Amino acid sequence: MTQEPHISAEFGLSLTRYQTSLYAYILSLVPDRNAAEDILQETNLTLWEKAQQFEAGSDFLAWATTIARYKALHARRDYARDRLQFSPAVTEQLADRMAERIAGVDTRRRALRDCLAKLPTDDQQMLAQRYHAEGSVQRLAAQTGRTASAVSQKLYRLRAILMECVRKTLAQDA
Amino acid sequence: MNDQASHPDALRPLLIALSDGTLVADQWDRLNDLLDSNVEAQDRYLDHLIHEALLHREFSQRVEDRVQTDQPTPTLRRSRSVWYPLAAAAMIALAVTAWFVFWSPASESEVGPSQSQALALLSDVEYARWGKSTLPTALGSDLPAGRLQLEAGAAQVMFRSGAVVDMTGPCEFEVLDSGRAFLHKGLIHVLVPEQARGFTVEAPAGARVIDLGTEFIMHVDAGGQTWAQVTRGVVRMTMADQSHRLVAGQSAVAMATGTLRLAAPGEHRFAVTPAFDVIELGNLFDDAAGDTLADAIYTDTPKRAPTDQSLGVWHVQTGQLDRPQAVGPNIMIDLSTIGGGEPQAGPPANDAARAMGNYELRLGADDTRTRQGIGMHANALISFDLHTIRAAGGLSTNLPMHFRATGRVNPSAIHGGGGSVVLVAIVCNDRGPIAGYVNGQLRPMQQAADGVWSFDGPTPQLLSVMSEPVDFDAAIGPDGAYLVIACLGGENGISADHGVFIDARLVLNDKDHTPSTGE
Repeated sequence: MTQEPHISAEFGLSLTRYQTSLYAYILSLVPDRNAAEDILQETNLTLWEKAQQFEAGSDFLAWATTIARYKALHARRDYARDRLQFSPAVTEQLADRMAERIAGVDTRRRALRDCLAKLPTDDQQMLAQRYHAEGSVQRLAAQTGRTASAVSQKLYRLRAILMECVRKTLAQDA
Repeated sequence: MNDQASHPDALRPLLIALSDGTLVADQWDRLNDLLDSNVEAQDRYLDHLIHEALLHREFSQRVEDRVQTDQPTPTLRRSRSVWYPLAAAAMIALAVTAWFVFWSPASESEVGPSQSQALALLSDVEYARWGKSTLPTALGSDLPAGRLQLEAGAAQVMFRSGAVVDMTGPCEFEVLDSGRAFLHKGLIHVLVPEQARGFTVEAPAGARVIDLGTEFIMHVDAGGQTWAQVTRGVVRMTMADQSHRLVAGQSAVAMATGTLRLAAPGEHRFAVTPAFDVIELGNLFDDAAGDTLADAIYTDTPKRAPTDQSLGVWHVQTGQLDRPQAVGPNIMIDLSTIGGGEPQAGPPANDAARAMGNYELRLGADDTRTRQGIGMHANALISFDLHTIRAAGGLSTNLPMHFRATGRVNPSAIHGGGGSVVLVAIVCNDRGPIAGYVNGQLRPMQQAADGVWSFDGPTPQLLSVMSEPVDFDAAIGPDGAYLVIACLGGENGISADHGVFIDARLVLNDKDHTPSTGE
């Protein structure tokens, strides 16, 4: 055999399963993709360090968001020096509000996936170019020969279609 | 609460700007004010941000999936915050994440030898068996300067410079500093991102490969010659005062005699010679998933029955071969057209006619030696997972393999009147059968509308105890994913119908040997 597992399988599974939920939580408090990714990593690291404290069967997400919230509030690193930030009061309010919604993120993810599949290929590709990496609206505009404002409008419409589709899907399932 | 919040559309342009990444400072302040103590605005904002987050993750995962399919190595997904589907793999990713987080940008620029400082990270291990390494070999270990001796399996070292090295056992590899290493012997696959340009791998006889931002394979063979092949980008290979610039597709060899020259295409096969040429499949039955192949093939427990947990076994089916059975995640095969029946009499066994009892495997009635192989009562099937077997042995998918065996009714298992069976072997890729053999003969297979595969043609003749043995020889290519062997029958009573695959084995590199004894 190769190596001993350091932490319980349940912990590992929870950590993996809730990565998207945690990311959504952090992004809502720090709406900057790079900063949110960094904070997620720090959160994962802390969770991992404290893995022994995690009790099987307890609410992983509640525990993890507490740590993520702390990290988000205290993230004042080099990468953040020119990042715009919410006031501590607004961050706290958003964190409270988000705590009520986080359990539903997973369901939304599945709904979004189905909705994305229903979009025409061109639209899917446009979203992919914007969202998979650093595809800025300007670059997208340059690539497609449109104005930045047209691209922005198009992306806005696509997001609105998706959100509406997700809303309907969730309403149907409810 | 403030005045702006009463205007529901005040939020919209801000959310658009936020999504477009164009939100400027005064818009930011306005957003902050709008959200302050305004629950309705907060809900709209959170709805929007949750969707943003989901889109980020959805598309970054799609890209990762594609990258992974196109480039099977290195196996580690290097993009940040991307997660494997499995818990164990998540831990690997965590180790890597943690390691990068701890490295402040200031320390990245440090280059130079160091004994105490971590220069690299052991970022992945797969079925690894280690020899006398001077470095720690636990997954996630920090690696200072020192040597890793990988006897079997695979391992990955991620250098602080960003270069990633996949080792395939047997391999001896030394970390010199964060941008420099030494390959003493074996095969490595090196991936060097732009920021690690200049990453250098030294080799015996003064050979050296300097990366110029690319991907290459390097192999120090048993004769001490160093071969390098560029997969992408450019490298420089040097030895003493000789130097060659190699571009994608080109390879060169530094001879032990001190000559450096370009190599002809196909002159060298960049594959490790495994420590073994033959894998006796029955020897895997006493090993569990996670064991290395090198260890597995040297432990041989007669009468051991395979289970779905045995190393390299995808599924064992006993009985119910009168109906379609799964032999891979997406492959259903119906053996009823060539004699598959419902009754069963216990699981297959290594080196024995059955898991219970003492019948030994013999080539014929007059054979005095017990043979390696797999014994099976009628209506039993084993599906071997070739991907897992390759991974457990650190074997390249390009390594040619053959399945070979001699099939017959086991003469030591005669119960009054003797048994009769049909013996089957099928090689599948991930989607379905590539080649099917009935009593050693290739026979076409077809897929029905419901997706189930079956053999074409008439009912095959049964092998009886009087029949000559039949030889199976099935080539397995790089896409070979599952190997199915089955014994069918039951007409003479299930306990009499007993077939054996004498010396059921995978032969690597076509280096075969004569059937061996089971002792």
